[in-house]
Amino acid sequence: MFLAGVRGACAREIAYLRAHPWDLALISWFPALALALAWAIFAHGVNVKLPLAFVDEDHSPGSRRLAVALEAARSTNIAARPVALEAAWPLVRARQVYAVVHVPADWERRSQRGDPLPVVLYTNEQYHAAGSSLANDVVGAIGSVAGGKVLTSLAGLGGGFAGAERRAGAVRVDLRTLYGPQLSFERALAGAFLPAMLHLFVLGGAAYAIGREYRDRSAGAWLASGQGSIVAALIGKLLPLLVCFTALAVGVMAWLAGYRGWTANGSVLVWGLGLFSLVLVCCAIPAMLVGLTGTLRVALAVVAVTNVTAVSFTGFTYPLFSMTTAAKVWSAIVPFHYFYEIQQQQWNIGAPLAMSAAPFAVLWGVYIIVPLLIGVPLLAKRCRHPEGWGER
Amino acid sequence: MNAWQAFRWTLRSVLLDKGAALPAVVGVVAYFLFYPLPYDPEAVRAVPVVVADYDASPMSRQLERDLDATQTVRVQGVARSVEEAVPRLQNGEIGGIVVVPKDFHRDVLHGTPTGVTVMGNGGYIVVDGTVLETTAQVVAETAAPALAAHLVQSNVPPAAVMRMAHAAPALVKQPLFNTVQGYASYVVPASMGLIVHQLLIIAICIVIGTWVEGGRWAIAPDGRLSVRGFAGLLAGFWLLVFAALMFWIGFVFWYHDLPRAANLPGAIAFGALYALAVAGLGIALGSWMGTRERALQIIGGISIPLLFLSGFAFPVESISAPLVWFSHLLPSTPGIQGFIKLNQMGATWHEAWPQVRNLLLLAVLYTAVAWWAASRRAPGAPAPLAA
Repeated sequence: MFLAGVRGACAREIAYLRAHPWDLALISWFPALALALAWAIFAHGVNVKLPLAFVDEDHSPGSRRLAVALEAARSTNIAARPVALEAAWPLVRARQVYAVVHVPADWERRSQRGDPLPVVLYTNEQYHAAGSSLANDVVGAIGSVAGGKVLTSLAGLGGGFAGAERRAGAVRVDLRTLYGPQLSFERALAGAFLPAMLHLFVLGGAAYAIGREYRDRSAGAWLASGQGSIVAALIGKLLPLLVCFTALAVGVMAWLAGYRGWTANGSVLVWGLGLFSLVLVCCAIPAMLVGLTGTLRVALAVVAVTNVTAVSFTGFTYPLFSMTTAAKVWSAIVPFHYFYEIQQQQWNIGAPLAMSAAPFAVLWGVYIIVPLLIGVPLLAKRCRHPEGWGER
Repeated sequence: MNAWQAFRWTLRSVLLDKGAALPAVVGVVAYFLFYPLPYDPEAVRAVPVVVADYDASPMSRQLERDLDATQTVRVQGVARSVEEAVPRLQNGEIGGIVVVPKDFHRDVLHGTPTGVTVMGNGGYIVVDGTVLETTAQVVAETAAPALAAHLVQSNVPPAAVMRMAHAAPALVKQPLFNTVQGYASYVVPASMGLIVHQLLIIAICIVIGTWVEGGRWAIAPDGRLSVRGFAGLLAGFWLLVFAALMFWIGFVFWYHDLPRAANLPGAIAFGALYALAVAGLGIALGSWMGTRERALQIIGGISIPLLFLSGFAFPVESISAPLVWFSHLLPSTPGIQGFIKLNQMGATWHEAWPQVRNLLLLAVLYTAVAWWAASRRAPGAPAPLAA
């Protein structure tokens, strides 16, 4: 009886999708295209040859070596050589360069005299991502050119160059990035934003699929297709959507961790279960919202507005540690946060499986079971009250 | 219906329809508090680290105190080994581990090469960079007096040591425009163009979708949309988009004390042009979708690629050429770039010309497409997405 209800509701939903190709598109090829587009944005992985202006007022062999080092670095490209700083500012404002490297007059001579002048790096912090990528390579280039001068001055303190090298390396700081040492934007950004986009499409698709029954006054027929069981009707309705989005989720994981080679340091299975749980969350929450409001528009608006900024509250773009209490509270409310914990633990970190139990418990308990317990009876009740249908 | 009547009807349709007024008015106002929320503290601060202290010496304790005294890093605790600290890094309780080796203090005093190891979490790029950079600076500063003392003991003249200690650094970093290097100052002004774009596109699509669903449009009573009727329609939506932009440029940037008003007249003029392109695109999309709620389903999912294609959060030089060409068809790309130039960077009209030209072309293009699409739908033709 129950299975017949699921089959009936599923067949009815498939028939609807076949008759409405755009509804089908928005749970299949359109999200796939948007995800492919987003991946393609980050596909280069690293920033290469970002333009900067090099203002050389020293015109010395040292400043020319610095220019060569900047040209040789991966993320820097000397796009302009203005004669003075004043000539560089219009290039920054026109965004033809992200940064200006200024070598002051007398730089090399003062350095040899032991009274060095600094090179100044001006970065456009309205384009912080580009500016910080560039800055790392500029620091490296200056280190490679100025490092020799430092050794020379240290050698002057006695013990020759051997002593200078020993002094320069007296206290090293070994910097290690764990769990993602490649620092690839493809892994980091596509890894965060592809699941985020996917969950927004699932939220929208599920809210639309459930809500339109009440909007179009077809909720009675929907319940009937489930043999009078709202649970069967809901499962049957959401099955095509679940199949499509689960296939997309698997596709995203296979693309990143399989074909593109960003191997998971933990359990791929648990990561996949986390993503599948997120897909279920994104079905359960719209079911509850449609049940509570009976309005497709309100349910769609709530899921879109409250979840579109989900990534910002995971601590990925700005540390969660530094956020205000209000932001931390909102971060604890947004379901994507808990999926992202699982993904970090199982894809990047390789944490013990037990560590992922807590976010799984929250996803299932708070964001799947509770919304369904609230939403399903309300959906059933609304199916029996045609006077509330058609709300826009 | 003449242009003035169509203009008034359009405004009335948005403001008296709670479905459209919610994104166009309430959403625009609410987002000014909600969107900057995660970035409110501006600078990264108080990232917790654990020090795995194998030395337990005065110098390692000094290092812990110096680290704790920084704005960016906070010492959450001291562990006896790295293994003890790793689970706390894995579960996200801390952002990094600082390992002080055995005999660190003694080796620094003797001038024997030694080193501190810093481990960050590469899964969180900003946290990782903060922990590594801050610790490297603090270690150098903490060890400096002991190293200087060692040099003096090695018969290096104290004057030479003093001169080296006071020498200028090899490099000075100077941030431009966003001089506090704040995250809200970086993200919020750039996102403003997209926030307004998305919310107002939703509102326009809700209104147009309602009209398409209802059959003939009130602004085209005889089934034909006149040029004057279309002008009133476009002007009504334009005004709403423009008002939302002015609210953000004039009030929100001031309220959150973000970089602003660098070229205010330029930004206002640019805003007028941007509003025209967004209004045109909204009418075109609304006519095509023809369903009241459809835009709400789509707009969230496409916001992320639109934001990154604009080139502010990810350098446009790192995006492949076909995608960059495609991005020029989206008002948000020249819009975001132009607003940053004019509001935050104080660019002249000439310096913002590539974005102005791009937006001019898009405004013409989308106005034409909007006219074509609206003329077809106004008599009551069904829309493909509703079919």
